[in-house]
Amino acid sequence: MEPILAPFKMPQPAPYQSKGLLGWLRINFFSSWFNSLITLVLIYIIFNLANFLIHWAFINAVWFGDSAKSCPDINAACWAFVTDRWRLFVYGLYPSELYWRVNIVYALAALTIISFLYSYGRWTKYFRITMIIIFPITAYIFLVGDAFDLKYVAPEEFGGLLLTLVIASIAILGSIPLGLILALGRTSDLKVISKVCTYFIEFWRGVPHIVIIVMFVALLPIFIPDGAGIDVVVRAFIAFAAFNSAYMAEVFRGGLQSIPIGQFEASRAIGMSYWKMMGYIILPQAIRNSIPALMNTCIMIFKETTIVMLIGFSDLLGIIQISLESSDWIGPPHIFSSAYTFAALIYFIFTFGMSKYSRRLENRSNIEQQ
Amino acid sequence: MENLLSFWRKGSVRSLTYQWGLVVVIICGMFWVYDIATTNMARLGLKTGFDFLTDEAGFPISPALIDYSPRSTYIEAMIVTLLNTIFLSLIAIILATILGFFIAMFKLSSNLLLRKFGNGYVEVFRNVPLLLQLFFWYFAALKMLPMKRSSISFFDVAFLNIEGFFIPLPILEGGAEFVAWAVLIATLISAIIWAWAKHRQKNTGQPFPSLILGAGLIILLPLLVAWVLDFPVTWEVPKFGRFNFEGGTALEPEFTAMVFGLTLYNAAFVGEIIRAGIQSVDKGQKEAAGSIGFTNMQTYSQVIVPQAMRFIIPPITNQYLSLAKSTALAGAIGYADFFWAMDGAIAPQTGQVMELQAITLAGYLGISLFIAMLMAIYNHMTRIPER
Repeated sequence: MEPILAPFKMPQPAPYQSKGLLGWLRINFFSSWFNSLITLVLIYIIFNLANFLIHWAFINAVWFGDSAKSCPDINAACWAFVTDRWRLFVYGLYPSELYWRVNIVYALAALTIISFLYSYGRWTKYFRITMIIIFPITAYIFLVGDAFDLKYVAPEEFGGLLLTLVIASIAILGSIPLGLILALGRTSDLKVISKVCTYFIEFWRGVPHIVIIVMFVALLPIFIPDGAGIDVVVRAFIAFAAFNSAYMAEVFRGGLQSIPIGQFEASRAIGMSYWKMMGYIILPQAIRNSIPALMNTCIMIFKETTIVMLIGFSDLLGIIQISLESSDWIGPPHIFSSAYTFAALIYFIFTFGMSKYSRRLENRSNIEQQ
Repeated sequence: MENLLSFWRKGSVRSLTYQWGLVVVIICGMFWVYDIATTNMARLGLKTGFDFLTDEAGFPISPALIDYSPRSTYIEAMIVTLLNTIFLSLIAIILATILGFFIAMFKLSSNLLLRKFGNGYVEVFRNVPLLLQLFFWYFAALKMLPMKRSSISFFDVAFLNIEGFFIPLPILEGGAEFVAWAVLIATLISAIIWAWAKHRQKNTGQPFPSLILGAGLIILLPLLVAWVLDFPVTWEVPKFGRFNFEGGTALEPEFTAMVFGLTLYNAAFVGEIIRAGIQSVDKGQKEAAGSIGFTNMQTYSQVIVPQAMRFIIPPITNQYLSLAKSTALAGAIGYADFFWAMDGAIAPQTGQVMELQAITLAGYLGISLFIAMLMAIYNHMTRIPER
């Protein structure tokens, strides 16, 4: 029997409905009557929302003033609160004649961030390593002082954005090594060590963070020999590093589990010891694999710093709340909403920046692997 | 010496030494800390023991799901606030899951505007600290609501104003228990039908509309019973009296703000988890299902979702756990949750911080373990059997 051949057709041009601007509109916004309805409703909502926001935040907003009386309009943002108090939000209770020290630290922080944002050819590595080593040391010297003729400033006087950033950096930098050790312990072949690490991690992960912080701040003095009094700010730092190390441990465990078993076996087969295998073969790959999750945890830690205000610290949110309840600014709720919008914007800039950076790293490592 | 070194180099000897060494260190450390703690507590004159639990609490708890008065004991106060925490977590988990599902649908939609809208929602609500959002809802948004006299009315049965959300309350009359029995019996019958249908489909391949039948049974049978009994439930609608609303029940602003904040914040995460889960299913699965004649609905319910579940369950469990834990922030806006009672009310009155801390930790660990256990059971039920 003769095979039936389909008549040969030249490739057809795309149908006119899907070409050009009209085609793009049709595919993305009006592909069915239901989609068209959604598009129209959304355009209406977004238009109204944008209209309201522009009027609220810009056109009707009050930009300058010194008390709640300068913002009588409840349908307008009250940026006067922010412009009046911004020093407090940025520097906290840091002595105003020493602001330059904080400014230097902010500048160094910016330089550190810049060193990680771009590539500088063969200098990249040295630049980044120098910044990572120099930054914490100089930041400590400039912020706390008590060295090189710099006046001592107690950590209690940190506040606002400065305190938020200090807590976040200490929590992140402290929890990474601890988390790595815990993750190695949990994935260890030694049953007892693995069990101990597992219980330790699961305990911290099962309890609200505020409970842990209150526990450390209120109860730590009972558990250490008398005489070794630990500052209350330092206690909060320890609490942050402790419970975040459990989350970091889970991040690194994910990275360790993503390494094929052959890598372990091959390194053992050529006679590497456990620490050599981990240090040269497994950890470099595992840490690279866990960078996206690590960045997510960093974002979570940054957001979680807000809970220190509940134990009386004046971090960014805390100092805004205190200022809102001060006699000058206590007033109708629209000042609260403006202040919270401002705070949200600041937090958003940091967290969104971190998530964008992590996405870029991910894309780059995907390209490198291909 | 040579012998000793080779003995030490033996893997099993070393691993046993490390492990027992760790155990000894931990036990010694515990004794040491215990010793320090007892000396310090004696020095500070702290009371110990759990006798205070049966003392009178003396403080009011405003949303109380079970009977409670300031004359109740501390242990009753703990139970009431623990129930508040569980109730709040449960409501927020359900609402966040529903909203998160819609967010995921938005982000998977073919409509570009809707996708961008879902994206914007996720970025905004995920990147702002939860505590800030709770403050926003409580101190800014809910405080902008009108006073009691000019409440926002929803069809004249529910009223929203600055003092809370006033909703109708069902009042049960005689015979209401029969309706409850009808619900129970209908559920049982549907379960039996479902099991039989599943068994039959496995053996013969014949499908049976057990889902529709079961849903119909569970809705219609109680309705029928209620109709026969002339509807033994009346709704007590809140009415504005001279100064206040009478009848119905009020959801306090603290509770409303907590539910709002927790739901909107966690829905962003849940939405991302569901979207990632659905996108993790290979495109070929959808095409294959389509090519053997599945409808879009069947493709999703029979092919995509069961496979996506495997990717969704572990992260969503973590999200539920994190939600339940973050209810501890409720004290910051004055909702009477477990942590507020322990740290804000009972600890200052009794001063027994050690015992209270232990109970707090146990309470939250219990909630976490319970959620983890439920999700593990669910995960076991929906897992894809491997060959």
